[in-house]
This record gives sequence, C-alpha cells and structure tokens, in this order.
Amino acid sequence: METVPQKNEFFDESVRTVETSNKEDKPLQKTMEKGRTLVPRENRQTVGEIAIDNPRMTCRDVNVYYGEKHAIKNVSLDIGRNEVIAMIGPSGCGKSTFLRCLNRMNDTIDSCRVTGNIALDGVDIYDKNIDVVPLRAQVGMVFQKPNPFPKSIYENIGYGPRIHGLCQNKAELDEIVEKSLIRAGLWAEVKDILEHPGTGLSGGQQQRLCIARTIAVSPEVILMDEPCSALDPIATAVIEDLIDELREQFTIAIVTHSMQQASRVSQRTAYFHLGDLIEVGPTAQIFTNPSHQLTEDYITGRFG
Amino acid sequence: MAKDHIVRSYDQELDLLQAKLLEMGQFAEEQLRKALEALVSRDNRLAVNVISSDSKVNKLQSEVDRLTVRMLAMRQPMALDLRHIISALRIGVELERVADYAANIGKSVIDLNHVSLEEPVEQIIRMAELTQKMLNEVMHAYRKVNVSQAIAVWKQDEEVNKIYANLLSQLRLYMKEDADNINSYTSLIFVSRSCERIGDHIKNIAECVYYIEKGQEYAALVAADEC
Repeated sequence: METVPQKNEFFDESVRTVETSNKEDKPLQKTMEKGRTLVPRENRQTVGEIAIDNPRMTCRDVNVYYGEKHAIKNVSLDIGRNEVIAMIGPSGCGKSTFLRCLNRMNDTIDSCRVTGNIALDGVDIYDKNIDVVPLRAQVGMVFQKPNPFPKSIYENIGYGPRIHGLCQNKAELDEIVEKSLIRAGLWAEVKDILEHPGTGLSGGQQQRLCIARTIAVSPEVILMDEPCSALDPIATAVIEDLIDELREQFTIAIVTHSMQQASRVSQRTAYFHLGDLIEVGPTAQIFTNPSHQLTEDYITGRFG
Repeated sequence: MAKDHIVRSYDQELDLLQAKLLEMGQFAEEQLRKALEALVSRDNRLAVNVISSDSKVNKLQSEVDRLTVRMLAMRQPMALDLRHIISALRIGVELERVADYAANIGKSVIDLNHVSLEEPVEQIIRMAELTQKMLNEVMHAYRKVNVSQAIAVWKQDEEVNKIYANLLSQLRLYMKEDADNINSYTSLIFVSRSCERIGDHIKNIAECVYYIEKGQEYAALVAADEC
C-alpha cells in the first residue's frame, strides 16, 4: 500500500514547483533560450559575418556623402571569391551607391565624397596612384538597361581587349570575342551575325552581350546593377543561370530590387536600410531565418 | 525528375530532394523487412538493430524538411514544382511515421520472443509483407509520378484493413481462451496495429503522387464519387 503523503508536502505548491523546475524545466528552458531572438529595429550595427576567409575585396568603414547627404554610413563588408553577393534593400537604402564605390563609378559625381578603405586583392583602389581605367576593367559593370555600343556585335566585344592591350593580332582578338560570347551563352545565337549591330538584338541578348563585353577584358569582379529589371521572365532566367555559371570564374556583386532574384542567384546577401548595412549572411539563412527585425520586415513585406 | 528549368541548379535541387525521399523510402522499407524477419526468425538482435537504426530516418526527414523550406524560400516554386515540393515535405513526414512503426514492431518482437505463438502469426506476416510491397510500389509510383500505380497501391490498403479486422477478432478470442498469454496477444495486437497504420501512411503517399500529377485531392474525389 502506498504511503499517503504528508498533508503539507502534498499541498505545498512551491516545493513541488521547485522540484519539477529543477528536474525538467531547466534543460527545456536552456533549449528554448538557444532559439533566436531578433535584433530590435533601433539597433543599426551590422549583424552577421562581414569578414570572410580569403576575400577578393575588403571594404572597411566606408562612408559616402552626396554633398550634405550621408548616403552610406560606416559600412564594412568583404566580398568573396567565386561567390555571388546580393545587395538588397528599399529604394534609397544605398545599395547602388555602395556598389558604385567598388569600381569608383562615384568619381564621376562631383558632389560625391567617399571615405574609408576599399581594397581589391589587398590594394587600396582609392589610392592616388590608381588609374581608374584598368580598375574598371578589373572590376567590370553591367547596368540596368542593356547599353551596347552603336557598333557591330564583334566590335562591342573587341573594343575593350584592344584598348587594354589584351591581344596582339586579329586571330587573338577573334578568339577573345568567341570565348566571351560562349561564356555569356550568346555564341550560338550570334555567331553568324557578328557584323550586325549590337543594338539590333533583343533586350535579353543585348544584356548578355554587355556581360560578354565585361568578361572580354578578363575582370576579377563583375558588378551588376539591376541587370534583369528591363527583361522578361525568360530572359531573366537565362541571365540568372548565366550568373550561376560565371560564379565559378568571377566574383559577382549584384544589386537587385527583386529579393526573389537575390534569393535565387546569390550565396551571400547584404541588407541595406537608410545607408546602414543592417545584416549580411548566407542567403538561405537571410531568407528563411534572418537575425535583424528590419531584415525580416523587408523580406516579409511588412516594411514601413 | 528532369524538369528542364532554364536555371539548371533548380533542377539539381529538385533531383536532390527526390533522391533524399527515395533513399528514405528504401530505408523505411528495409526497416520494415528487418522487423518482419526479426518476428519470423525470433531474432532479438535484429529487432534491436531496427530500433536503433530509426534515428537515421529521422535524420533524413530533417534533411528533407530543411531542403524544402530552403527551396520554398529561394526558388519561389509554382504549379508542378510547388506541388512537388509541398508533397516532398508531406511524404517525408509519412515515411518517418512508417519507419517509426517498423521500430515499434521491433519493440513488440522483443516482448514476444520469449513465448511460443503459432496461430495468428501467419496472418501478421501476410499483412507485413503486403505493406512492404505497397511501400515499394508507392515509392516507385512517386519516382515515376505514375498515377495509376499510386491508385493501385491506394486500393490495396483495403486488404490490409480487412486482415487487421480479422486478426483483431481472432486475437480477442485467443485472449479469452488463453488468458495466461494475454501479454503476448497484446504485443501481437500492437504489431498488427502498426502494420495497419503503415498501410494508412502509404495510402497518404499515394495521394501525394496523385496530387503532384493532377493537382487535386484523390481522397476527396473518391468521397465525392461515392456520394
């Protein structure tokens, strides 16, 4: 027969609560604490790993001003080799401004001032001795609207390698043109019409022509600023597949308004908000389980 | 699952997802086979092996979970792809349950192995063999997205339920007549109950195959036809 517990023991809730919490609740509590809590909106320090092993480009404490306007605030970020990094965020968040710092495209804007350090393979690209012409070959750019030169398809590709002295003769240039068009997935479509004007191609083909033109001067980094926003879904998918393939040879940084595109093409994602780099991390993590409340707000469409 | 997407890495992910599920299906089938063999040959070690191997299925299921969540977030699947990915999530859950029941059979086998029981075991073996065959066929139907094969498997569950009902009344009778062995009969009820539940989960997988191809719920269509 079981002993009936003493009355006070049986009814004393506090004793029993303490016992159970010691035996079971505590480990459970610990496990629960391991779960995430989002960084609050007020906090504007970058969340996530800005540094990576063996980076292609390193940016530290980058500030950009347009006159009085502080467009980029203390952004530090590494850009890795053979990876696609996507920069997302609402309009005016600074993602395009930041991208343009990476090959000094902002130099062309008089009121623009850039401070901090941006290095390509350890070399400061804002150093006084740096010539921006070869820099922009090393760090090429593809724009929102395809902008082929008003010349033949062949000349669109051949012009860059010729002025940068990458070829000795016509045969070598022919090879560069063919290789670049093959890599950009355009060769089969244009190989018989190389003398036709580049502007006669479809929008998607023109954009691949621009990518081929960028590849032709053997860049290390390709910057893409909304490369698909003027294209239909099929042409977009072709470019996205191309980006996936180019990643094996190049470093790619892409700015896009379409976070779906960012999720499809990139391995790392950086989220910008009002000039701050809010969060950076593996793309799968950013889109399934971000760490900052502002990132979550934006990707779930709860912004503002 | 060659889908010929323009973005080829999407195809690779879909293939990977399907391969994971086929691996899970194969493993669950193997667990079921071993549990049955442990019962027939009264092999305790094999039964223990079935129980301890169950964690592998759980691991595979969480891989399937992670992959589907990732694909839903990063590929924005539509239409056929959406149905494939949603169904993968569900089939993963069903297979995990099937494997759980195989492990449960393993546990009952250990309880049963120290007594001699002849009569109803024959029928349990039939039931277990049938579910094993159904599992093999339903995964084949999934691999090929073969709707008619899926429906054939779906219908076989009826047979499993019949055997189960028979067994149950038979076991009840034995329990009355042979009260000394009531614990063993209870274990046999657990085993047959596990087989019956496995049949139901396989039926759910068959419905997933139908949904992938047709975009409609097979069970609801059958219910509507019967009205």
